[in-house]
Amino acid sequence: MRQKCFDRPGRKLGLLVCACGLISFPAQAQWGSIRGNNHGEHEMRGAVHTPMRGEHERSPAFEEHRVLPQTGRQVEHERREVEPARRWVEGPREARDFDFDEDRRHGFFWSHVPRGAFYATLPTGYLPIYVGGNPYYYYEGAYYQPEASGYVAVTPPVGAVVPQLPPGAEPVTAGQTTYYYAGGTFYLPQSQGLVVVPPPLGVTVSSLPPGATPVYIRGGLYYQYNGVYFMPSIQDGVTVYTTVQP
Amino acid sequence: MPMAGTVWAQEYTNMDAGAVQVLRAACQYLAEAPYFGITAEIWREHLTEDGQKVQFSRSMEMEVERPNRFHTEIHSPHSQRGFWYDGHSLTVLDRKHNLFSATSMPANLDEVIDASRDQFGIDLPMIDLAVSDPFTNAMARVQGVRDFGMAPALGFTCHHLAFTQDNIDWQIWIQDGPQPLIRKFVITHKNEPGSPEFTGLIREWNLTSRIADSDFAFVPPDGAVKVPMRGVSADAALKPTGATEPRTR
Repeated sequence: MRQKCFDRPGRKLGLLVCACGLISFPAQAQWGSIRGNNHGEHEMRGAVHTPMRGEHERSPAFEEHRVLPQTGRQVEHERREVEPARRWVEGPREARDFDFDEDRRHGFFWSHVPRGAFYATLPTGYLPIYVGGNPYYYYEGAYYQPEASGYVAVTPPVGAVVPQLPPGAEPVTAGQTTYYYAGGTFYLPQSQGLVVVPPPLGVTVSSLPPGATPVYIRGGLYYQYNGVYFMPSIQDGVTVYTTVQP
Repeated sequence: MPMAGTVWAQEYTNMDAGAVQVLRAACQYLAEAPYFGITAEIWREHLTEDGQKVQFSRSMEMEVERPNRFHTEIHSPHSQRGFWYDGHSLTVLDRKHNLFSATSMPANLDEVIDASRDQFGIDLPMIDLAVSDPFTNAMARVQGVRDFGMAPALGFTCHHLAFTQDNIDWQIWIQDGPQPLIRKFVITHKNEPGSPEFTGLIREWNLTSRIADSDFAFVPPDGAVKVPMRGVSADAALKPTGATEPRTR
């Protein structure tokens, strides 16, 4: 379902950012024709808002634990985050040409980290996390696990908690719940951070998770990934995928 | 099209008459062409979250047969899409994923352009060339015109005209000489953060060779799968109707 408002993970700042998006940037469609611009701006479906650096909030849980209360020392993994990450959260699906999103996705770090790829070193600014007692490393939407002589990019583990959304995360809603989708992974804002969750039903996303495979069920094409089915359709002139129960 | 010297004199008296006349001549030349084809490149600017402006590009070909046939291909290494309108229906083909979708449309190209955008959110770049009355379409909301004289565009000596509206500014480069062909076109979304621009560069024009009927008839590529087309107001989970097995010619 469409996101009606630029949403943030449960903070007052989020509402402020949303309001700024609606007020400060009177939205217009960016069509590639005079006719489109003259006729299309009255049918806007949402506000265009590209968050600028500094607008993105961090999870309160991660903020609260940046300094060890007993010693005043900074936690090791927080110190590694000194270098600011590129932060980019997609706005609502407004009226524009979505064809160029394919180009934009190529600009995000996670789009250049294929799952299963081996790396001798981790990217600068990585964050160590544990899921089910297993160590992982996270950086801008990419997840790694240690191997004998390096690290391998892996499927994001369900239950992982990261402090901020990966760049390029697009808001998608199922019922009253807002999720964020980036690099084939769904995130649910929780009090402790952004939690990696299984794909929810009834959301429409702009790309398939890596490794999704086509299947035909009763003559219809779906893409299957981890037991979830994505049904393709064409919306706004580009292909989108909706999670369904076929 | 409005008659020159009558409606024009009433509507555009506070504008540069010479510039308006250059645009009118180019539009009239285009409107009188029963069919035409272009080979172009389009560029879109995008502002990243930290204020960096980047440009994304596509190659495109467009074929138009007035009053009711249209075909365009828009492509890059990232994306390849085709659009067909045959007087009855609009078909969109995602060549990269080999998926297509079709929907019925009005019998008039102008209405199809608007319906594609309003009902299905489809942006057809450079579609101003295909409307039945390009001059009235272009001047609909113009508030001011400036003529910057002659300038090169793609190697052609062109008239450089700049128009301003409340919602956008736009510029056009029109080839000088007996064939007043549009060579470059820029839209500035001046009310958007960073004022991103859309640019179209028309490398080739074909106004002489009749376009084959087959160019306007969509034929699914081998293995292409038909999928639903979602309207702009669609926000409910889709039912898996309309999908079919891969089609093989």
